[in-house]
This record gives sequence, structure tokens and C-alpha cells, in this order.
Amino acid sequence: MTAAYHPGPADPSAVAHDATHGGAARGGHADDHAPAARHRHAWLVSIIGPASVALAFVVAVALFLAMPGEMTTPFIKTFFSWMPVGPELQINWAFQLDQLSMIMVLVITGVGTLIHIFSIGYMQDDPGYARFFAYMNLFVAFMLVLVLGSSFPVMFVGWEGVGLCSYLLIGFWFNDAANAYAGLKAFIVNRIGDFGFLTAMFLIWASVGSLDFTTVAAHAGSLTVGGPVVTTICLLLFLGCAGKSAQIPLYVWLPDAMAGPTPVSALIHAATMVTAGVYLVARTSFLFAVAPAASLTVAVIGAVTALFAATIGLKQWDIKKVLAYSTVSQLGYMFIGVGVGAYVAGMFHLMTHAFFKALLFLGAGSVIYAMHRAYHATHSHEDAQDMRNMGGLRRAMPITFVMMWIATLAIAGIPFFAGFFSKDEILGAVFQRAQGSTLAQASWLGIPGSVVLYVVYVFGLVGALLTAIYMTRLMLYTFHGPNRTGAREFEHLREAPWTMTGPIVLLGVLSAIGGAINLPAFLHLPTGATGILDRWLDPVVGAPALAIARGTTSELPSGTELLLVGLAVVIAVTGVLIAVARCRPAALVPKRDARPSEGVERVLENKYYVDELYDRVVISPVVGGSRFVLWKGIDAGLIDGLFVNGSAWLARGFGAVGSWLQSGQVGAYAWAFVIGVIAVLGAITFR
Amino acid sequence: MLLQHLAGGAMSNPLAGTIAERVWLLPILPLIGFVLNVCCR
Repeated sequence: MTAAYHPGPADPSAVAHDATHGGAARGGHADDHAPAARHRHAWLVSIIGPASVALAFVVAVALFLAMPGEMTTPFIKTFFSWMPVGPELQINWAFQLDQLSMIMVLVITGVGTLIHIFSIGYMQDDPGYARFFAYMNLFVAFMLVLVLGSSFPVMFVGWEGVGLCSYLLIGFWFNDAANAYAGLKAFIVNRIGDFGFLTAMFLIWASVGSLDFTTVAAHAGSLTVGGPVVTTICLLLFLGCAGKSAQIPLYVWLPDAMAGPTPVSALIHAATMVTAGVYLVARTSFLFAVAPAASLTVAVIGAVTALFAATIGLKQWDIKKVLAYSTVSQLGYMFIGVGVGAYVAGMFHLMTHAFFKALLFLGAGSVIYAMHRAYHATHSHEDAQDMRNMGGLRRAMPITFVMMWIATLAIAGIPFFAGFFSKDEILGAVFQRAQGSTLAQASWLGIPGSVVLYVVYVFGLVGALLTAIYMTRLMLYTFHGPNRTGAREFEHLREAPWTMTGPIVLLGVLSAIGGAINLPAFLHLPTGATGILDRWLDPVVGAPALAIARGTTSELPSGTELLLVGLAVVIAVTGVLIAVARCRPAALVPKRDARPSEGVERVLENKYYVDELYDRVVISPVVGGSRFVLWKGIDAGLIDGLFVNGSAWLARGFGAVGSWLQSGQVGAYAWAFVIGVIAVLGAITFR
Repeated sequence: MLLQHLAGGAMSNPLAGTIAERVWLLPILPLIGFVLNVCCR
């Protein structure tokens, strides 16, 4: 059991065991330890929680079927006037339904339903069962407001709402201080990003006079291309994206967010909320298209994050931490896509990533669930999430094993799984933009844009190699080789119930065939079978993408494109082979017997000590300054001491003088009167 | 064509008068789930 956060799912034996052995707090309330039985309304919550999201998915499908693909104007439904601030600012509470929001709505409600169903099994005996589903439902509601909002302020309501739910769910088992702090960390880091979002909104209103997406888009053409205003707006918006979507330098909250229950990691911190930043860039593509420096910044930060996070993922032992850094890395790929103006490619990877990363997290949850039950059956206190304590699980959990391999091949970019198509489209777009686009002709910090884009492409390729390595490593250490859980424990390891394996299988199917939604032209399939997502999103993001590509719709020459695809495949396969050659599950020892890592491995295992660096450079000075300057100096010294206590002392002093003068002795009053008269006469005489 | 350039009203949209008028159901349904689950606590 890790000290950092609660390791896994709840079950009655686990609760009893923790309570007996003084283990980590499980429930959210003081009395959560007492009952080891299921929540008294568990059956009702099991219906309400998933059904409310499933019904939303049914509505989403109906909307999708009603929406004509060639629809060129968004459907805007206004409900009421929200902020009528004079004639200059009228903000309505309105939803915008178009092809872009439709994609997001389907992903949120579809994947959300599967994860809610999974949670029935995973959280079944947690005393906070109803609270968990309440937060999850609230999250889905806010996420839908975020993607449906027709203006920046409405979107911001959803943006903040999902942040609140993320905080509540990271710290779901808040009796453990580490979990509570992880939630707090996420909340505070996201506020830094929100500062960017809010300031961008103010600037947009000041320069355009509206905050509706349609109105701002209509005025985007009047903004100076590459001008300081639009560039600043886009950079501030991207600051918000970096916070929400965990990009450098604001990525540090996401790995710690794994403190929450695993379904939370799957839904909020992999498939949906963390992709809100990518959605925001795509939604405001009309602004980014006229801000090449800002777009290049998005692509560069995405590329650096993709590579940086992938290197950390190479040496993590906690199965959820590997997936967390993988998510940070894959979000980097999405930002590369939308940064170079390949908005469809970015959204395509957002979709496929939602499938295979949700599957990987749910699969990891299934593994942790089994490990946890096995350890509790034998009253062991080993770490249920450390891969060094796993191994050989394919024999005990064949369904999870097969499905997680499908997701691994998809994320690694192995043909013809979903991730292969989306990642290849992003890298191809980067190469194409480097050869000719407004971005290639712009400069970034004095460096020619084309050079920047080629570097981004190389970073993307190296990141793909590392992705294949760390994911194969995860699979080898978890499912292959001999089992390291323990002989007695292994007898208790078994596949999770159908409520958990069912969603995993469905996500496995989507991870395998999800790429069909946007097959590339080089496959030479019949017209209509390729580029489905390209055509679907063209009315929304087609023009900005075209503007960045300088009006050229031509793709890369067929030979060049096939060469790039071949290179990507070779890199992905090489990554898998390197992992197979280097990672030897048979030589691995359980965590308790492992030697501390040294050198580069130690640096990677400790995540480049970035948290420690932030603590020294940012947190400690801010806390120290707050404590000694703001608190003890200004608050206690100046305000409490000088203003509050000082005025009291002054009043008391005047009172003391007054009470001394008011002695009641007539003689003293006469003397005072005489002295006063003499003083007045003296002043008149000698003036 | 850039969709957002055309600030089309709901009435001129092909989705007008369809189930899209009930788009509010999307966030409301999970919100109802939230309220009911809070009551179940």
C-alpha cells in the first residue's frame, strides 16, 4: 500500500482489514469505517448513476442522427438572458450545437456511460458509494455545459464546474491527507490556468465587443494577423489549456490526481476533462489561425510535453502513474495537432485516446481490484499498484490481458489499431506544415517556423518510440513472466465481475476499430470510407486549417506520405522490440526486495525532481512570503498592530489624559484656567 | 466555409424544430442523477 494515496477499490473485507490494522482511511466520513456492509441504497444508486448518463447518451445519439453533416451554421438555443450588462455586454445562457460539440458530447456521454457501469463493480462496497456517483454525475453535467456553451462565459461555467468535480473526486478518500493535498494541488494549479482564460476573455471583449463564439469568429478577420492583441489572447487562452490539460509547466497536478478512484482517472483525468484544452483551441481555431506565433507555441509546448512525460513514464513502477504520464504525453500530441492547424487530427486523437486510455485505466483498475482482494484475503500489506508485485496476471485475468494489449498496440501506433491512424495524421500534418504554411513562414523566438516544425516532428517521432517502450514494459511486467504477488495471493487473483469486464471489452472494440472514423487516403478505399471525420468537422474548422495551410488543400505526395507512415510504423515496432529485449519480467523482484534505483533511472523515477524544484522556487518562497510578510508583517504587524491595536492604544491614551484632567478638584481647574488666560494674552502680546 | 462566420439563428438552421430544441436535456439528465444521488446519501 503506497503512502501517497489510496491504492484501490473498496470491498467489505478491505474496510474491515483497514480498520483492524489501522490502515489508511477509506471512506470520506469518520463513520465510513464502521459499516463494512454496502451502502443502504446501493441498488438505487447503481441504477440512477449510470442510467442518467446513459439517457444523455441516447439523447446525444438522437441529436447526432438529426444533424445533417453538411450543416454550415451552428444551432444555437438561447434559454435566457444571463448577464444583461447594458447595451455593450449581453450574455445569454445559450447552447451551441455543431459538428465539433457533437463529437465531444458523444465521447463524454458514451465513454462516460461505460465508466459509470464499470464503477458499479469497482466501488460497490465503498461507504461513499452514493457520494461517488453524485460527483460523477455532476461532472458529466458540467462537462456537457463546457462543450455546449455558445460563449466564453458559459463555457467557463462548465470549465470551473469540472475543476470542482475533479477536486472533489481526487480527494474522494479525503481522510488520507495525501489524497486531500492532491486535490488541493490540482485545484490551485488549475487556478493559474484560469487566470489566463479569464484575462483572455477580458481582452476579447475589449477588442471585439462580444464573447459569443459566432460573433467573435465573425470579427476575427478584422484582427491584424500576427498582431500583439490576438497573439496575447491566444497565449492567455493556451495558459488556461495548459492548466486544464496538464501541459508544461502546469502538468504537475495530473500524476498526483491518480489519488482518486480509478474510474475517476479514466473518465476525468484521461478521456474527457483533460482534453478540454484541446477542445478550446479547436473551438477558437478562428483566433489561432491568425496568431501564428501562438500556434507555434502550442505545438512546441505540446511536443516538449509529449517527449518529457514519455521519458518519465519509462521508469515509473506504479501502474497508474505510468498511465498518468502517458496521458500527459498523449495530450501533448493533441496539442501538436491543433497547434499546427491540423484541428481534425487533434480531435481525432482526442477521440481515439478517449477509447484506449479509458480502457487502459479501467484495465489497470481491474488489476488493482484483483490485487487488492488477493492481498486482503491473505492479510498482506503489499502495494497493490506496484508492477513489481504483479507479473503473470494473464493466467488469472485473460479478458483484461487481451483488451489491455489491444489498447497498448493502439497507443503505440501499431497498424491498424485506432491510435496508429490518429497519431500518424498528426505527425504527417506537422511535416506538411513545415514544408509550406503560415507557420513555416513565421518565426518563434527568432527561430524560423519551418525549423521549429521539423524539430516538433522529430520530438513527436521520439515520443512515439518511448510510448511503445513504456507501454510494452507495463504489459510485460504486469501480465507476463512469473507471478510476484505471492503463491497464496495468486490463488485469490481472478477476473473482475461482468460490470467491469463488459465496459473493458466494448472499449477494446473501439480501440481496435475506432480509427475507421478517419481512414487516410493512401489506403485507396472507396470514396466515402476515408476522411469521414475530415468531412464532418470541415464546416467548423476547415477554414482556419486552410488559412494556416495557405489555401492549399493538397496533401503530401503519395510517396512522401507512405515514407512517413513507414517510418512511424518502424519506430513503433522498434519500441515494442526494445522493451521486449530490455524488460525481463523473470528477473524482476517484488517491491520489498528491490534495490533503490541509481543514476539516470533514479532521476526519471523521481520525475526529474520537478515537484521538488517547484517547491523550492515557487511554493516555499510564496508560503514564506505569505507567512512572514503578508501574515506576520502586514496582517499581524501593520493592520492588527498599528491600525487596530494602535488606534485602540491612541484612544486609550486620550482617555487617560482626559480622565487625569477631569479630577474633580476646583483648584486644579482654576490653575488651568489661569494658565490658559496667560497663554492667550502672551500670544496676543508677542505675536 | 467557416461555420462560425455565419451567426445563424436557431430558426434558420436545419436543426430548428427537431430534437435539437431539447438540447438542454443533455446536462439536465446527469444533473438530475446528481440530485437524486445526493438524496440517497
